[in-house]
Amino acid sequence: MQPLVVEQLVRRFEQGGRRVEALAGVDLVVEAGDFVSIMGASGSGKSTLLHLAAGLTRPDSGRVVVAGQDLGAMNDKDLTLFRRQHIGLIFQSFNLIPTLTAVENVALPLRLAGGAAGDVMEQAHAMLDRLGLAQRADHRPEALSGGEQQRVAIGRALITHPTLILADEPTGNLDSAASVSVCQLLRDLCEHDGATILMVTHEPSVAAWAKRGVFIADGHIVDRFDSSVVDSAAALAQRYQTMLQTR
Amino acid sequence: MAVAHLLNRHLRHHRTRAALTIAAIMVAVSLVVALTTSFASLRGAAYDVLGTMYGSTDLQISPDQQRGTMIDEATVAALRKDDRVRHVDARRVATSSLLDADDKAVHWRPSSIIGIEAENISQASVDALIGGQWFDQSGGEVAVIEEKIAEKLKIGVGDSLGLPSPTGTLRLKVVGVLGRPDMLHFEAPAVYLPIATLQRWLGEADTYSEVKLDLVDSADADAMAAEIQQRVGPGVYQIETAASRQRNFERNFAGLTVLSYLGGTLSMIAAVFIVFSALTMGVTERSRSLGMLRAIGATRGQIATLVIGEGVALAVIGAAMGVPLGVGWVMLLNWMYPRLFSAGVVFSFGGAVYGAAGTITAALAASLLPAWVASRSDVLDALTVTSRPRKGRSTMWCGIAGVVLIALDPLLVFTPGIGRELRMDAHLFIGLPALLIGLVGIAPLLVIAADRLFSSAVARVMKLEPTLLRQQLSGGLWRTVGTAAGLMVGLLALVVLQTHGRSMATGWSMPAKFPDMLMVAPMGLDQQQIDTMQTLEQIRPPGVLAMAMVTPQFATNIFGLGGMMKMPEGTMLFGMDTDRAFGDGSEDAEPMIELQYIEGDPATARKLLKQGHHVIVSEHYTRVKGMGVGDVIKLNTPLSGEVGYTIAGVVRSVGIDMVVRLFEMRREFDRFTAAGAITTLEDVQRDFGTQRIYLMCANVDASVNKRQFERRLRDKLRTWGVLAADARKIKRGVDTALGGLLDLISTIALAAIGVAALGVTNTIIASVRSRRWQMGVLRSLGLTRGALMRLILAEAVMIGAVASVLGIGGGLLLSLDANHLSIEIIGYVVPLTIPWGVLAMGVGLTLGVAMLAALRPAIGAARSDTLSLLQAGRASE
Ligand SMILES: Nc1ncnc2c1ncn2[C@@H]1O[C@H](COP(=O)(O)OP(=O)(O)O)[C@@H](O)[C@H]1O
Ligand SMILES: [Mg+2]
Repeated sequence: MQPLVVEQLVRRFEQGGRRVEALAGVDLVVEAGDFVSIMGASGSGKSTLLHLAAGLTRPDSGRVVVAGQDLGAMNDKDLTLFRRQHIGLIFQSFNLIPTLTAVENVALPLRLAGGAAGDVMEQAHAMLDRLGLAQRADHRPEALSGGEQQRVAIGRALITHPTLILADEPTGNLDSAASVSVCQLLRDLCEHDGATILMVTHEPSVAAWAKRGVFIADGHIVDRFDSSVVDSAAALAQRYQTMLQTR
Repeated sequence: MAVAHLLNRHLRHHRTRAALTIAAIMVAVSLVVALTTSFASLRGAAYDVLGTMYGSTDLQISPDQQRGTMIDEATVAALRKDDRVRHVDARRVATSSLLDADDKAVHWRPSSIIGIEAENISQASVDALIGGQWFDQSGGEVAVIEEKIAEKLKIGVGDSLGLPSPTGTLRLKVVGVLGRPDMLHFEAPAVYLPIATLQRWLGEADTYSEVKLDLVDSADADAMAAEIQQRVGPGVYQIETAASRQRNFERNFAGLTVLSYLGGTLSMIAAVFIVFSALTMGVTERSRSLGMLRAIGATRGQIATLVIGEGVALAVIGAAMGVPLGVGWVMLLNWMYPRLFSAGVVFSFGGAVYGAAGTITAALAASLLPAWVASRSDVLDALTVTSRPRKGRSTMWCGIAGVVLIALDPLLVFTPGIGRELRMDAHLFIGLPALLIGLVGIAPLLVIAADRLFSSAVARVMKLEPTLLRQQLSGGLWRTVGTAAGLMVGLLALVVLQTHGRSMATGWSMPAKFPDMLMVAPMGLDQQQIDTMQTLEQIRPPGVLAMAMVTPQFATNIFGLGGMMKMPEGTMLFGMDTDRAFGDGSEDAEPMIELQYIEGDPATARKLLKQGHHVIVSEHYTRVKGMGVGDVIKLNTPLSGEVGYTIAGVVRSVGIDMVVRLFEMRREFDRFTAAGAITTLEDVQRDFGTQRIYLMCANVDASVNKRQFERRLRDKLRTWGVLAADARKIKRGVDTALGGLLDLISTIALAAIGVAALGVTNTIIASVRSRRWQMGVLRSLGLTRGALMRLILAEAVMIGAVASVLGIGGGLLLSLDANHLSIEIIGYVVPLTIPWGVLAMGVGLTLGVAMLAALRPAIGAARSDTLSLLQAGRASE
């Protein structure tokens, strides 16, 4: 079963009396174990697509199917519980709850689902260990660097073993070194743990870490690429530039 | 579980806020507990006193006050023989002034002179001795006096005191001194002596004025009371059973109990508003965290539980600390005034439950709106870096709903055709809460208006750049609303108490014209003594106006209202010589009393009164009974049975009734009489059999002073216990006393303002916190520390200003309603007097308290260095 199937997705916004078509009929399939990046200029509809895939908002038309289930058929409560179980979310910033420590942040989804404290904390520690953050377990977010904060957020997204991980510009606030370590981690998770990842970014150097990619412009998917074909980040950047210029 | 964990972390993270909110709840609950416990303790003390006074008395017989006929020996002897009676305690009680050891008259209030049989001295009375001992014979010139008398007369055991009388002074040797509980402070001090000695001094052997019966267990007190009534005829004796005494006592305390609960409620409401605003702050500040929680799978229910849990947790902790604190306050009071609670501190369990459970429930209710808002928090809104505040439409609707709710109370109060009881209930249970909620409803609009209107004025006063103050309050709209509402409660109560109270105080007025001197004889005078009085040379023509007083029972009991809103059971009927009082219609006869007529006119009323069976009533009647001139009031009279009195005139206030209460002329503290009616002396004597006169008035020479006059009066009459008082001074005295009482009650309102101050501190801390970065920028641009501090204080001042507008506006509206209602309840038509000075002080206090509460956070922010301000907000919620 495919983790994510998006069909003819349309989403419009009202902006000062003007109608904006953020997504104008998008089709996308993400296979299990895949790592897909979505590239596009600012305002092209990337985040909107991701939010729809996470069921955080509803489309004007079209369908989102996650793990074989049509999100449109669920009510808010079902959607929340479904998200808790099947989707891991990572955002650009402000991912963590500032009053909780790193390990408590990681444990939170399981605790919200009613997991026993001892069990859950053990899993969360193991997760941080894997992410190389064991030393940081008891620190509050304010004491962590941006890269560490993002890695904790990834850990939190992974802790429920979700069907699909959605990341919206996870490296947007990081310097290049931290950015690389986050990308490496995501790629690693995909290769060794079979995680399925859909990542939004506008940086070719980040998109190059994915296995596949789509270009999005004005709410349309305008191009698709495969990392095995595009062999370097520089080449990807080139293609991206060309795409931007032809539009 | 996860929710509990998050809650715990959140509270720890905002320790100061949690502590201040808990403190507010704690103080509020402690006030409820302290007030109710103090009151329960006072009630216990009163019961104690009552216990000593009545012991195991099942039935108490006393002569009807108006007629002054005593209980004779035959009646007492018959009772002593009755097998249903286990014990008879027959007493004679008189009132007299006292002479000291040197035979000098002591100018003081008259004392109760109580003659008892030695065998009836109870163990409690023995225990109350603080010196000497009780007499053990039924005759002899000995006395046991109360401590107060010992102090006043500067005498002790072994000394003597005198009782003056026309037949010569009776000298008594003091054998014992009694302590007395503070509870009886207002009762006349007492001298106890053997009953035979008192009877001999009075020249009335074998008469009694009080008989207490202790019945055997199988006896039926009610049946026996009925039997005695039947034997002697109706209205000759007043017979009270233990059950009815208990009932009267309880009924009088019921209203006060309600008040003791209401007092603390005020602070509770203020505290709950603080909970509301603390929760609102938490929700606003955490919008990002809450959104994130939703994104990773927290349900709306879990988010709502988090907020409600916070409200309840704060309330539970506050209440748990408030109850012991309240008991602590009472202990402190008890330690400072050890004789106040003579029966010890009686913990009011009901008060504690009310305070704790009430606060927790109210906090729960207050958390519903923030919880709902939090659970609605949109994930995407929270994730966008700059979330736009949404207002406008909802504020508008709130305001409209607020106005509607506010209008409800005046509507309920002023709409004609609503029944009295229904109107009262509707006002208390619908109008009043609606008004409070309505004020909160219009608060957001007011806050926005304050931002526009006050900010430039405040900026000017505080020497700040006006643009810096723009949007200061509306940035955190709901937390400001909650805080201002909390602050409003106390001010509102202050306004109502002071406006309504002072209106009531000044509303009671003497008749438009009234004689200079009032004379009161607690024992009553007979006609011969009145005639003697007329010969006193200082009294100007037409002489002394004697007034006979009775308290008739109404034929129909329409006054059966419970609790504190109850109507007076009876109304005082004053019988007087109408020619003398109102003139006989001839040119040169100047009336002594001029009343302010609302219906009818003096001339007609006078003529009608002279025909007999007519009365002049206060406006009270027309309101309460829907009667007017020409209508007939049916009265139960002891001698003529049910008699109809036709209303001859309606006046604003008879005015004399207040005097009577002031002089404690009725010793039963279980009967209220609130209104007066005037008829002729003949009517009262014929229908009520009144012989003795207790109240007189006269015009006296301008040069006469009250003391001299009183002395002359006593000398002339050679009698005991006649008091004279300047009528104008009485009025002033009443005003002062009521004013003092009002100020005392108003401290409760001040306490509520104090509690609300904690909320202001919370708000200012939150406001500073959310703007640290912005403040850093301002400082780096050259804003001085002082200016920054003033900027923060300005916000507090503006919150105070909003609270003031709400409090004064709401308070005046409520006063207007209360004023209108009071006409129905107490019968006075009082013109509304607004004490602007006090209100201005209230506003000043509110603003001052708000500013004081903001001082610490303001100084804190001003002191922190610019860089740390700039770096703030790195891990924002
Ligand atoms: N909540 C919203 N209200 C109005 N317009 C929106 C909203 N969210 C997104 N848009 C608009 O939709 C378009 C796509 O936005 P988005 O998906 O956030 O772009 P991206 O993430 O690619 O930068 C933009 O024009 C944006 O302004
Ligand atoms: Mg985006």
